[in-house]
Amino acid sequence: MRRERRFGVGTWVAFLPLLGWQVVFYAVPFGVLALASFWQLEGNRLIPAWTLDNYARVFSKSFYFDAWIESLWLTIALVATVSVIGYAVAYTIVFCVPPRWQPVVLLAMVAPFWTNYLIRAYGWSMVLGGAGPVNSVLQALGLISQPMQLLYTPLATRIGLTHFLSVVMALFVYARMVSIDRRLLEAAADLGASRWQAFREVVLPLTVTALKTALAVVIVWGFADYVTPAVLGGQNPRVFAQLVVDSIQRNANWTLGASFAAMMVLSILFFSALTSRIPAPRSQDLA
Amino acid sequence: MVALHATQAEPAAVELTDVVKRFHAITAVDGVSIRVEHGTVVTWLGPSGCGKTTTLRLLAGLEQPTSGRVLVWGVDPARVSARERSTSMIFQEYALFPHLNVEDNVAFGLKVRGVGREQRHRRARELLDLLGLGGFERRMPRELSGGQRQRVAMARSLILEPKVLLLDEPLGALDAQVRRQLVDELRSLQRRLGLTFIYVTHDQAEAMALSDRVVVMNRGRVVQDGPPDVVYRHPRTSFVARFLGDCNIVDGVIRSIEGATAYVELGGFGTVCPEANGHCAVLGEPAPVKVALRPEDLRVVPEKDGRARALVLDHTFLGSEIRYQLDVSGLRVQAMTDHDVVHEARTWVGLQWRDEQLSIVEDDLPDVSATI
Amino acid sequence: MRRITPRVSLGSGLLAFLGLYLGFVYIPMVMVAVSAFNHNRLSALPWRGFTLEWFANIPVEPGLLDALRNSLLVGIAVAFTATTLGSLAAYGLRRREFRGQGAILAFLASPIAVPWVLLGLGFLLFFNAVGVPPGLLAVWIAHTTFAAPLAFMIIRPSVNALAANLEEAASDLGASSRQTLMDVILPLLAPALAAAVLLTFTLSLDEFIMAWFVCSFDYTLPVRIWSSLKQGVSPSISAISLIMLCFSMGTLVVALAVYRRRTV
Repeated sequence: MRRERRFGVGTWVAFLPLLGWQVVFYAVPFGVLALASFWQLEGNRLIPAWTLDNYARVFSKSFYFDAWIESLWLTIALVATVSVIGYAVAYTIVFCVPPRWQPVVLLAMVAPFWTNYLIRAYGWSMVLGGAGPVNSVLQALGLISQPMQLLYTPLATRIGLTHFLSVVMALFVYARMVSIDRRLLEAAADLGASRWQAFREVVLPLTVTALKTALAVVIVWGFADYVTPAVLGGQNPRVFAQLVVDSIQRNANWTLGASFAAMMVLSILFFSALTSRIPAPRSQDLA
Repeated sequence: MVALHATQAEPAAVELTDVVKRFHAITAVDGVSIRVEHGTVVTWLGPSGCGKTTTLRLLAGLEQPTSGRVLVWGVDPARVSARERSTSMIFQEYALFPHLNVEDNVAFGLKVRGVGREQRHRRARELLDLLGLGGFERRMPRELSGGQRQRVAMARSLILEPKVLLLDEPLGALDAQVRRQLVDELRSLQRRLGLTFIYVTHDQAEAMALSDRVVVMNRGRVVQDGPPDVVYRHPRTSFVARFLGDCNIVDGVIRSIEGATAYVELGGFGTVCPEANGHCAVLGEPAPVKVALRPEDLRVVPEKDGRARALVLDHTFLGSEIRYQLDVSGLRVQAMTDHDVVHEARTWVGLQWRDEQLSIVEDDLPDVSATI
Repeated sequence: MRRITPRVSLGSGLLAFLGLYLGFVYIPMVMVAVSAFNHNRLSALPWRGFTLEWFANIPVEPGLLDALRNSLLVGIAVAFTATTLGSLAAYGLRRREFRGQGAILAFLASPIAVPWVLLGLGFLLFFNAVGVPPGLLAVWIAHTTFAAPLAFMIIRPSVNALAANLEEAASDLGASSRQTLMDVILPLLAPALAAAVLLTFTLSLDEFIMAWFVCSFDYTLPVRIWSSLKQGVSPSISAISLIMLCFSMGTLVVALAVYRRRTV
């Protein structure tokens, strides 16, 4: 007989420290952040005087808008490249790598990311720099006559972020793809589907939820990552995340920064909502 | 139900008096009174949710009764610490510590009591030898088969020399053959050590093979309590009858009662129930009753030799026996006989039975219209 | 299964792609390693000879050792608090269900999904409002807030897998609560706890942006690296970066190995 699961005093005592900590140091700061976007700054202190000035300023300068657009392009580019690469990698691991070796490959793929992302960006800045291997190889091959400006361009940011996010996508998709019942694919083959058709009609629909979850992560990073654009993308054009940080670090304009942050959150939520509307696999009506 | 009163001066091994246990809205144990003498094997038998495990846990001191009294060797187990109790429990699926090897598992109880390393490991090895697991000391639980794990769990409890061993469905996860073997081993172990075993199971075959006494429980109450053969041959209610095995239960009418014997009419023929199970006192006459007879007690004979005439509906060959589905004046019954002669469907046969094997049962199941 | 896995030619092509991809994944790390050993002050390439001078220079670089010390202090403190909070909560909640559980658990898990820029900003404002001075204390609070849910999620499956029977069995065999904890529960949870400690430690060590927001002049190592970065390539940075890289990757591998040894 199943015994009742009782939720007594002892449980609360053990659980409360974590919950309390998170409420005080996580929920409250976010509340403050949201509120700060509506408050004002006096000297160096935040004062709860309600105002919409901050938001007005966000929408006032075209150069803020440009930064937002830049972030948008970045995110779109990332969504496209990361999805393709991630799927290709996941597919290869699931279907071309023997099962015994799959964990090894995955670990090898993941290990470089359990490190300081600053160092990774730094590494990329060396790779893409004027004297770096990319330029050296291109020059050696005779494709260009002098070093190309790769660093401090939007392309560099995209490369840097694709580097990280493609692994995330590959992991999410792998996790879902590896557990697809092989007999479904055998049935598809038996019914005459080619391998590409089987992929399109069976594998793809079944992994869509993993794709969507990973895309949510991509969107967050596209809009919110500061380090990669700052190290690799340079100052012109800047991305939205850089605006947030600059308003804080350079100008100590916290309330403005909070408004930027709010805009960032809204953008992320909006685009995440868009991706979540990718249809789940469903059969079409047979007309 | 009726408590058996002993006349010894020694406290009973186990004594439950009007024990009730409620968990919020659920009454798991609803007024149970039992007394168990030392050295016996008593099985609590019943379907899941009947309260048998809860009762066991009350004896182990893991729960406290909502009302009523629980005594083990005269002591309330919930009031004293585990070390002062006379019980030790074998948990469902054994609860062996996965991070300890066999020897450390067995020695655990002695370790927490502060017994020295040398001594406790020596005792552990002795016990493992006793249970046929010599040589397994260094193995880890996950490397053992179900039967081996069960023995380790036994050793772990027995090393503490409890007077009462509580076993919670100890053979549940094992397959039939291993189970049969272990039932025999448990029986001989109990006889050798002279402990009291309180055994909980939903498997009636185990219960009957192992126990001196079977306590059938349903919905928190004791429905019948007695030696296995009595409970099997003379169930008191249709629940007990069905739970312990296939059983024919047919509707009949009591025509008259003389002493303890009832004359019952079943669909056109009459029979006598010598053991009316105490029903006579409560029933007026004539009154509708249900009568139970085990299929193996109903013999199929040539038509002219039978007490009643039946039409064979179907038969199933079961190896050592044949099971017949028969129609007796509109009543459907089952019979199990040996396979000397096979009676085909749609032939008429005769039925024979012995009156002593009939039981009048109370109807405590919602639908008791016919046989299985 | 021949008809469902790619044809041999495509398969080899895909495997080659995978190989290239893994190369792509490792390029930045390789560059860092090369520049750390390259006797070339200005840039990673061309290769001018093997040298260990940059490593030797580490103690001399201003603030680098202090930053390292700060990072280690905070990291250890964070590992300790995050694992404690997380394991207490996981143990308290073991196998129990309660109203609103989905929402509360989602809340607890959410910091992992929130952009760190936002977290950093939130902390900055909050600390200012509340009066917590910027510095290592602030970094410790910020990192713990981020790491404790992670520890909780690492430890929780192990705790839930502890059969309920185990504690009862230990108690029935005569173990006191303390003995049950020391002899049964902790040994069984040890791999998950160790993994949580290692992972929260490296997480704190590697975290840049939140620390940058709230640490002011008490630099942690990533923050110190950042200020050097702004001045261009520096081989000493490469040297210490390589050390951190190896340390983090090594810790991950150790944590995984330990975690796989668990029995619950």
